Amino acid sequence: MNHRETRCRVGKGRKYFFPQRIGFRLRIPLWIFIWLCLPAAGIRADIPIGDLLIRADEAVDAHPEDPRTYWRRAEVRREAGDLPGALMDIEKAGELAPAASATAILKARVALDSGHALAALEFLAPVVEKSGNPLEAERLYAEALLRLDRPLEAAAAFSRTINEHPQPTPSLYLQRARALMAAGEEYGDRALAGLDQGMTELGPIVSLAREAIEIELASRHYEGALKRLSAASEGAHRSEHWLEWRGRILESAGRDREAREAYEEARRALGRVSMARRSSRAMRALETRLRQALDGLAKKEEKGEGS
Amino acid sequence: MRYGIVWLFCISLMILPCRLAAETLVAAGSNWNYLADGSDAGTAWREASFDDSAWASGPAQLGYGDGDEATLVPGGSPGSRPITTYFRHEFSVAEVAGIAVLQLQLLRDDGAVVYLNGSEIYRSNLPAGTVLSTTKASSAVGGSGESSFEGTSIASDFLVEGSNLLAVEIHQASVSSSDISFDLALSSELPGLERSPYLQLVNRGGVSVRWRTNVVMDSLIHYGPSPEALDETVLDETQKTEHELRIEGLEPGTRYYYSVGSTEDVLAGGDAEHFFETAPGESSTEPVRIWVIGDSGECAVSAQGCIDAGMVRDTYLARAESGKAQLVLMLGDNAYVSGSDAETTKGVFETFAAVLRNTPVWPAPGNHEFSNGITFSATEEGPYYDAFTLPRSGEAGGISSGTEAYYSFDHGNVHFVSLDSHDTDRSTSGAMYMWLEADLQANQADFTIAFWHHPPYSFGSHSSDSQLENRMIEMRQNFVPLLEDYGVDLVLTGHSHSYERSMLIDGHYGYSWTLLPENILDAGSGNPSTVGGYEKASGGPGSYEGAVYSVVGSSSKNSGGLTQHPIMAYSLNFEGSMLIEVRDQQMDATFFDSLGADRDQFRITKAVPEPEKFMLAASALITLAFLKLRFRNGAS
Repeated sequence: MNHRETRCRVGKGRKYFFPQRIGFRLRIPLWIFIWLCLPAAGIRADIPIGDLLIRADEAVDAHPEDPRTYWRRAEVRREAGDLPGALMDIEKAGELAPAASATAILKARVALDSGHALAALEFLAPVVEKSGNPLEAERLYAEALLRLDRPLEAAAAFSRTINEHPQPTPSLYLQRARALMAAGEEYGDRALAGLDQGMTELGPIVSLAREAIEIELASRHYEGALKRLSAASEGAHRSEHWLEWRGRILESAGRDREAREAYEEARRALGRVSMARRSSRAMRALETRLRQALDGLAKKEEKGEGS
Repeated sequence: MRYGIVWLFCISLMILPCRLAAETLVAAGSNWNYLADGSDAGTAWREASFDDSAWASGPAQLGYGDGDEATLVPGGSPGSRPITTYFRHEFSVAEVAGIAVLQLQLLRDDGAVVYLNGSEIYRSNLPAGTVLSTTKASSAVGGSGESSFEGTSIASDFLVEGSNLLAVEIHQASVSSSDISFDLALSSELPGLERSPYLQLVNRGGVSVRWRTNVVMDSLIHYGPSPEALDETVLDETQKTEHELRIEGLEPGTRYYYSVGSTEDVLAGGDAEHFFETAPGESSTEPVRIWVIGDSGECAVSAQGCIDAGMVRDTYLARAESGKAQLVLMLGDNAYVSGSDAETTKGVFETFAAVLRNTPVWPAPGNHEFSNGITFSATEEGPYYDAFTLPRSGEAGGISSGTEAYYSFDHGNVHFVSLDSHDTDRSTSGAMYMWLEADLQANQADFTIAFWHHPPYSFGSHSSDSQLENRMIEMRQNFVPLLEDYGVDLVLTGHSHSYERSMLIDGHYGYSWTLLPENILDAGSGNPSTVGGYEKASGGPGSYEGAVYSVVGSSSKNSGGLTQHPIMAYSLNFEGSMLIEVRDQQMDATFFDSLGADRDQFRITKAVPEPEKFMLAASALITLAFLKLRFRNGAS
């Protein structure tokens, strides 16, 4: 048996593994990165490492040539906030499987966890250039760009992920829309078009519809917001929340009479719901909000402010 | 009873592993010829025609330095160990036709190359490229790696009828290494199942059936009202190993029997154990039964895990004889230690094959599903997402989530919500939260059960008071309030390898020390046979009426270190699972251990008429007043 690792105790009851085989060329940038990571990791430095790490250690001991054992331990260490330890394992895995994109993805995740988006970007750059790699690499690349305040590039990277994915998830469309909005209100139309693309491809996904309505409202496109709301609520089993939202949009647009109608319709819809279902906290809160909204409109009318 | 369960488990161990027809070609412990003098054997030794009559021979395990060898091979002295030792073994195969794949099991310390009839078929812990007698293993093997076999499937292309030759070279990582180890087993497999059939995405009118074969073939299902009348068929002529067929046009609440296979052969089913049941129709009054397991994947990595998970499974199967579940909920960490494809096969589809062939499984991902570096929720990549077919578009009720990472479905009068607490945005502005809010707004069911992996409350192997457990905290602070707003009744989680079950609580979103008396709506045990179950006045989702939170994380192991969280009515460190029965406005749940004993029970009854409550309170007040009067009179 040859142990090529030395075990050092750092902190209470915790073992770190420092493979001696990491080449000199790699050690310097690695240590620089680790020291960069330390402030973020410091708050978590005395975590008792549980059975997960023991199991991961055993796997590494049993199969030291298998990069997957290091990825696994790196993920456990990352979970536990032991970022230097995670990075060390990822480096080791990278030596064993130089072409594996998982190494770059995990390194990037560690970098993002420790607030080093630029490092994440550098880890991922060679991976995203090649096709056939996990789409998570491209998505993380986009996330890193967003954190570096490069929203348009981030949106483009999200678009690539979406286009390459056989069945993109709603969060990808959502993130792209938010990246575009972060670039400025003038990209609102592109953000909306992206969300529409998502709803065309995935169907009526409520998280995308809601985001689109919020973007329309942020741009004061009340008609657009109302149109989207009607489409999103079409066929909904329960209409009271949608009607309340419609009322709020109309009120924001200064169309108080229509807003009152919407609120009243929402109350009627709520009245049709069985008492049992009306008694949930959310339903009672809705009832209160509707009452307050109608009272507010009535007061405005009394003062002659209504439209 | 306990011995009965153990006996049942032993029988199941004999029955379950028969998924593939396998024949041993080379057994572990076989006799091998070897050359261990440090010389360079070149390349001719790999060929069947090579004359190895001058080599020594002996049974495996062969090697030196560990003390567990059946044959000690010369190892030179420390500092001048031979880097390469050569082994050869001849074996015979009567008929090659029909063999689908070879299964190789190799024990090697440190590195190895395996040749079959002169062609390399496997390499382990050695660098790519040409391997010379001086090539050192990539790394030193230690610990359990010195005595454990690694397995792999190999195409049978190089196998010939008659005599075959296996040649193996074992390489040291260094000349100062203290030991080498070698043993090998080889078996052949006929076309068969790698994953037994399992049911997915059942709704009132359809079901998806999935299975995996060890060779490509077309997909065929026969189904019908009895095992003897499988008159209907669904066929997909595409040649593949991963098979999935959707059957539509079924009657609600109906049992159908089935078999799976190809146009050539039936691989499983056609008996009383292979059936599916569609979801009940709207007017159904039949009870809904749900089997809940969490952190159940230990069998993928340990023999003890297989024993424990097997006993958990068999205690359920024993109970199922008097009322089987219609659904299985898996609360994450379904396949230790990294949720790889092989671990998922072993931890989920082998371990629970006897259940999953007739009961659809609805999973949530745990942290271990993501410990492989290739599983990601945002892009739905990895073995977890490959293994399951889950609703994206409200196919089984609920509203479209657009992803398999989180979803909802209805079964009978119960609405189920499955969340991804590990790899999906848990913020209130994330897609999962926005979807859940809309889903709960549209919910019409009498009961709502939510499940995910990271518990909002636990003092088990993970503490919900630890600031490091950000997933547990975020689920508690962001998702629990939303679920409670819409009247969730029961929240099921895993992660801690224990069983913990709360009282009826509401509105507690902080650390345990922030718990207030008003957060506990019923401090009783909820056990209907002792103090009585929990009651909620509303017939649907009720306001401020409380929910029960349970950690069911010991379905294949327990981790110890459990203390009682202040919201818990019951906590236990023992392997087990939960069976839930929902009948009209009443939910009964039982946690039973892996020996079959009931350890905890609670009941939630809904739509308890207020007048009854009022009458009870009134009669209690009258009784008190009467007693007080008597006391006064007596005193005077």
